[in-house]
Amino acid sequence: MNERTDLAELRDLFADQPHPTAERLAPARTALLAEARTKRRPRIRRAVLRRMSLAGGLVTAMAAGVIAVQTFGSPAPASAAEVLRLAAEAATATPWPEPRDDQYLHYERIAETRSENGVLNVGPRHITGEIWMSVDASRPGLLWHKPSTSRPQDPEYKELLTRCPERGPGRPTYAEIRAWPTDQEQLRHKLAERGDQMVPGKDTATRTWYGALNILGAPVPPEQQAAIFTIASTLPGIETEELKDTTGRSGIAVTRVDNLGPGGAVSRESLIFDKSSYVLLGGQESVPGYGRELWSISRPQLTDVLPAWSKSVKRKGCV
Amino acid sequence: MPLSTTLSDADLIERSWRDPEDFALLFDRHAGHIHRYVARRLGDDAADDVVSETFLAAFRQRRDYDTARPEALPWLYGFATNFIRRHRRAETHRYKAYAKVGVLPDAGDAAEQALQRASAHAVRRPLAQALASLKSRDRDVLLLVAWADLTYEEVANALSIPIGTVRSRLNRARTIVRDVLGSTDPTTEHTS
Repeated sequence: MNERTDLAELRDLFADQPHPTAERLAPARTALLAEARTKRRPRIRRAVLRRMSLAGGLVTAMAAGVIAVQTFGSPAPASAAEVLRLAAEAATATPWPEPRDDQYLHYERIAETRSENGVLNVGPRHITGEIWMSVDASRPGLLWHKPSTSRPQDPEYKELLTRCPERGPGRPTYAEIRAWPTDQEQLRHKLAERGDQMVPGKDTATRTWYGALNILGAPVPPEQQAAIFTIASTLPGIETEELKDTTGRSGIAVTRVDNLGPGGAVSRESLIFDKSSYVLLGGQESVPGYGRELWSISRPQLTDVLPAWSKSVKRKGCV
Repeated sequence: MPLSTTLSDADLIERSWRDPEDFALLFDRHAGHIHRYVARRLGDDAADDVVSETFLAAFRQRRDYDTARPEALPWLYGFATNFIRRHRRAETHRYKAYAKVGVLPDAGDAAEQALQRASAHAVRRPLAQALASLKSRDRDVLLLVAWADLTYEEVANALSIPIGTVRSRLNRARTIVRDVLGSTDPTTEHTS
């Protein structure tokens, strides 16, 4: 019996033990949450982060730095609906090779959380990463977070991303979104359905807006992206403002204001577009007085395989 | 992709220092792995309790977590191992029962029992007997390597023991396992 065999035999023993269902784990999770709630401090922007967690894929880019929020002076360059209409045109005007189902979308993602005066910064501070996302999720994706230049001491983090159907519907895959209708009514319904998982029970416009934010947080086929912008342009309560990052790039943002911040605080959810090309740059969620979270995705490209080093990365949790 | 998947475990734990409920994201990420590991040792029902105790204990000690370690699974397995020890007798009883009849005492219905019996070939039953005969601390190390897929260094972190101790415990355990397997002819059916 050689050295490999004894461990190999052991690994097979009771290996048919199934992964527990969410139902099975629910009581333990409830007990943990009950304890956690007794430790909760007066909250700063928990609801915000929770929503961002659900809003998900969103999380991306925006270089480190202050984003100054200010409204346009007069004359306003465009109405929010006009910005979104131009963005819809830009989405389909940009050349974009259609990926095959067995390919990966590889893109860069930066996310940053900033708190305001006196509010504890709850992290995640600054994340710079690269993502490889299987177009139809038939293969594990890959996440690579690199230490940012502002925090070189941070450890690198790599993870294989596996979808777990038992967790319920996550963010739809690129392939699924590609199959979505571009018909306004049907797509509006899809977005509201998605948004309901983030802001359950809210009015249709709010759910549609959050659904749109969620879907736009990762590469989306141009036709669907354009259709989403068109739907968003019809939502009540949208307005424009100017958001500027530290690279000096000034973007034009479409913002919708609600009271879904912590304790009913005002929350401003924005999509930020390039000021001249109207290409989507990213977004921002801001709760005045508490803080904001910025994200963007950039440099999407297609690849057939994961980098060779991914073979040594452990497969862990679920997406 | 949820934000929770974009953060390292260390980031999540650090966030839970101020936002305790975020610890649930760590639960979502790892509870399944811990549960399956514990269930392989103790069965599903005991695993339910151990997982709950593990995450409550980890939550209460979250401020002691060394955030220089991005992955928290070894840390969580450490807590789980401590709680598994409270079920030591039940665990060895379980292995012995399997060694004897090829079925775990907590196996479900007749169909599941039949499946277990069919897979309990000549190697698995003596292997279970070997597990039952190990010292519990040696078994902890062996199973963290074999079933939880931890590296020696991760086992050392999980159990707060030197890496040399991990090696010696593992060697001791594997010697016993190899002895059992070496005396077994896997081509014949075990008939006890």
